[in-house]
Amino acid sequence: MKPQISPLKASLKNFPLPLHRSSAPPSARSLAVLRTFPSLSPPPPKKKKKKSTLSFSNWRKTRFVTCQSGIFGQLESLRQEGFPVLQPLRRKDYSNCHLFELPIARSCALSSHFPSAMPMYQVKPYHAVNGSLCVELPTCMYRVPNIHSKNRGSAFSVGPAGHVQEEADPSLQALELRQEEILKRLYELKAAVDGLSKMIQTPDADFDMTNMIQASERILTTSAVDLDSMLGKDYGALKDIVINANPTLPPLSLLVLHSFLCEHYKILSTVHVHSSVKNVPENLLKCFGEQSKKQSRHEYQLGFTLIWKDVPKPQMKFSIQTMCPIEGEGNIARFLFSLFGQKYNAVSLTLIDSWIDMALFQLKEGSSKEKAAVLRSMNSALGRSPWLVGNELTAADIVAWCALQQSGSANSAPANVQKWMKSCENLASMNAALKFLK
Amino acid sequence: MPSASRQNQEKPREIMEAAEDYAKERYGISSMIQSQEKPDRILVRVKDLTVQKADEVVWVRARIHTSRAKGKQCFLVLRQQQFNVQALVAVGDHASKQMVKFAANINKESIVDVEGVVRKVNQKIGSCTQQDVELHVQRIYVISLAEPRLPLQLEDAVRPEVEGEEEGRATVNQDTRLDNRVIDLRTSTSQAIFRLQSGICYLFRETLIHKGFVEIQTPKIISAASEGGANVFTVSYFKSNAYLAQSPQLYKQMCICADFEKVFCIGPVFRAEDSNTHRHLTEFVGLDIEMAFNYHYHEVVDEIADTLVQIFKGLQERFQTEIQTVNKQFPCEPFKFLEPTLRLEYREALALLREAGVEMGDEEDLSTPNEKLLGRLVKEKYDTDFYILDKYPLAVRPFYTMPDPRNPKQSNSYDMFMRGEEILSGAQRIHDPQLLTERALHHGIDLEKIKAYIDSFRFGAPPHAGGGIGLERVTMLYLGLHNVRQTSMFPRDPKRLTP
Repeated sequence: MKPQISPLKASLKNFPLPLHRSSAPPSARSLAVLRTFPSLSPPPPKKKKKKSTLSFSNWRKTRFVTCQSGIFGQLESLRQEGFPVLQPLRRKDYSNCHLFELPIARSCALSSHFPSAMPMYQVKPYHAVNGSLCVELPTCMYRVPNIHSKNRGSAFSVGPAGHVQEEADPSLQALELRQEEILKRLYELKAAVDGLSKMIQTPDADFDMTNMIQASERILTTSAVDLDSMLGKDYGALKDIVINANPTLPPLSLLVLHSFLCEHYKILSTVHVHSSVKNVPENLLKCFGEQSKKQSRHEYQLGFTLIWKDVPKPQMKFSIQTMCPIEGEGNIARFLFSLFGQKYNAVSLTLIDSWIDMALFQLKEGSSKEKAAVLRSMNSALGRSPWLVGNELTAADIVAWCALQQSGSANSAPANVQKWMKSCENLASMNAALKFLK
Repeated sequence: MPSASRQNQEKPREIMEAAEDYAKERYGISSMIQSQEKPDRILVRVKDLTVQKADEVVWVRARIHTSRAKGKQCFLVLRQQQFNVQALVAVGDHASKQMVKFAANINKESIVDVEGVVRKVNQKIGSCTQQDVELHVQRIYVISLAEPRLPLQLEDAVRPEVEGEEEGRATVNQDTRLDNRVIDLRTSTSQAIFRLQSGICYLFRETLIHKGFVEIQTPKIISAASEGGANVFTVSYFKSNAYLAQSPQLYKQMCICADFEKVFCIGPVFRAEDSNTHRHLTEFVGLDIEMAFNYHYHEVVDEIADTLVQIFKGLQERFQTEIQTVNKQFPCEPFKFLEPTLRLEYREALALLREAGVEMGDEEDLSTPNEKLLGRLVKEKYDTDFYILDKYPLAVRPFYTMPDPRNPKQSNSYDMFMRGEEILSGAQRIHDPQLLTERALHHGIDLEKIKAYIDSFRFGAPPHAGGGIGLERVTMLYLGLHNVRQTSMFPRDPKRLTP
């Protein structure tokens, strides 16, 4: 019962995804009896060209068990039970091995078929020709001590399972410790989240709002604008924000936010037309003006790619691996505004969010009654402060102003709103957006 | 059965004797057409058989697609190119029992002349392209008889490939198709593929001529390997050897040096590469472009990309029926693209791949799986099947590629991709003999062998760039097919020289 480890590096290399990421170590117990290979694959079947791309997730569900033909008789009985037996492999490394394909669940069950202290005849070392034969091991798995070299004197006097546990690798122990630590932290987090959700679900729970705001302010003290920290790891290439928008409903606020962003960062802006739409108006094609693209792409801090496409609502894609697409003009506006790096407390943030939703769902798309109501509340808010939220321009002002322009009720707005609109239009970025309305 | 000659066809219909075969002049095997006469008969195209023609008597020349006899009547499906119509021979005034039997026994794929009345049908005929009418046959003559045993059945050849091959339905494998290419090309799918391919060529010419390009013809028998690298076919040339051109590049570049400014050429390209993959052929049609530019090679990249976009747009507009026909057998998503075309830099592609967990060196070339993965990632983010990858590492490009002025490890070169597979590879070429010599030495190329190439730049050469596109690959990838042999009419690969 000597474990066979074979260099399958060559075949592993060809796989598009790195293997070490998803291979979980098999349990130590089943290892002692049989060596299971969760991440080794047989050479991809050479069937039709079309089907040769073996799906990664499919073969991960099976383990491949190799064992010497000495115990083949016992495995034969397994086969009668219905385990699929693959062909004996023809490669040199496998010369007297049989490959069994077992579902993960059953590979553990297999270990019970081999009584750990079963008396067997001594098997001569397989590679005994030169004594020290160097076997190239795949690096994707941890090492297991060689059973033969240590067991030669008292062969099988100790159950193999116990044997491995006794001499557990220190790195394995460290790993175990780390896992426990992580689990502990996870439990703590879970408890915290549970507590929070209880608080939210019971409205009259006594929680101190001011405490929370203070806490959030403490966290948000670092207001340095760091694109890397906001947009994820830098791979030395342009960070490209892709926005899909329908030319029949141009997302005005995003265009305004884009020109604000241009004042902050060096941005490479491009406009494309997707093949799903035709006849995009000229002013939308030139919505970023004439860009001088003298520098090469990677010298820009940020890419802004606008694609006019047949989509029901605006959609933003940034990192397709770590982020799902963001949908809706308001949500994209929130994301883009966060790139300015300004930090607000929880109350302001909530107010901004609520103004954005109000502007988009009531002012822009709502009935005339809803529009009037929003205008009234805007009027009273603008009576208290120069901008909708606090003393600074926020995403709320931008989205609300754009919605107001697009709703067509800009002229009938009350006095404070009119004053606010004037100050909005004094900003070059917003003024420039007026040309899309015609 | 008596063969009816053409003179007999015009005889009055009254000659009928119930006991005998009263319609024996209305069918038969026509004598071989040796251009004996120029009859006034007007043959109507099958695609023109519509409701407007209802109740008219028409003549049609078509192939017998299928035939099905049922007692006193026989249903035929007549096919002409990708169109077909149902025809009915039924015992009655115009047809006798014997005639029905004759019609039912005509071998499939035979060419026939049929006279019949166009009749509107109440229920649409789902299996034919002309769904609203059928043809009630009055006369039927065989023009050219097919052999009874066909090497492959057309129905099998157009059957969509179903996963798992359930039902035990027959499909025709690639080699049988290619061995009997004449029959395979008759299928509606093949008809559509090659009509679309012709459209690509046409649109390529139309767009480029509109842009002020000049079409040139370059020699295919050459004295030395033009690119130095790839394998060339050797042919015996009187007392010495010559080679088959593996790219018209040298000649394109010489035309630029001769002040044609913008040239393109469409012609065969030969590659003696022993690679048996789904996308390699030893002879294929190259669509090559070369253009002098003013200050930046992106002028050329934009021009080439726009040409391709115009081709895609033209196909979308003018070849929708062909695309639909191919989709029936080989379903795939419609081809999506952006205008202007998305242009990414190589390092951005590496970043995308690294984010997806691929480990690759900065100066490593894209492997085929990585190329495909990148195609998927780009599609995911930008929703385009067509994009340009710019600024390849200098190390993986041929010696004549212009290095990037800012980063010595990069080059002014680009690849274009359709559905994640490379279709075009191009670059700004070095037009300075000094630098060209340096680069050639760096690559360890024998200067003697490329002397003619270097010499052509000695008398003043404008800065220029270009690239070559494989026609078969563009067709294959536009239609989402899986093998380039499907889009090459008579493919040549390391294992196939015939037909």
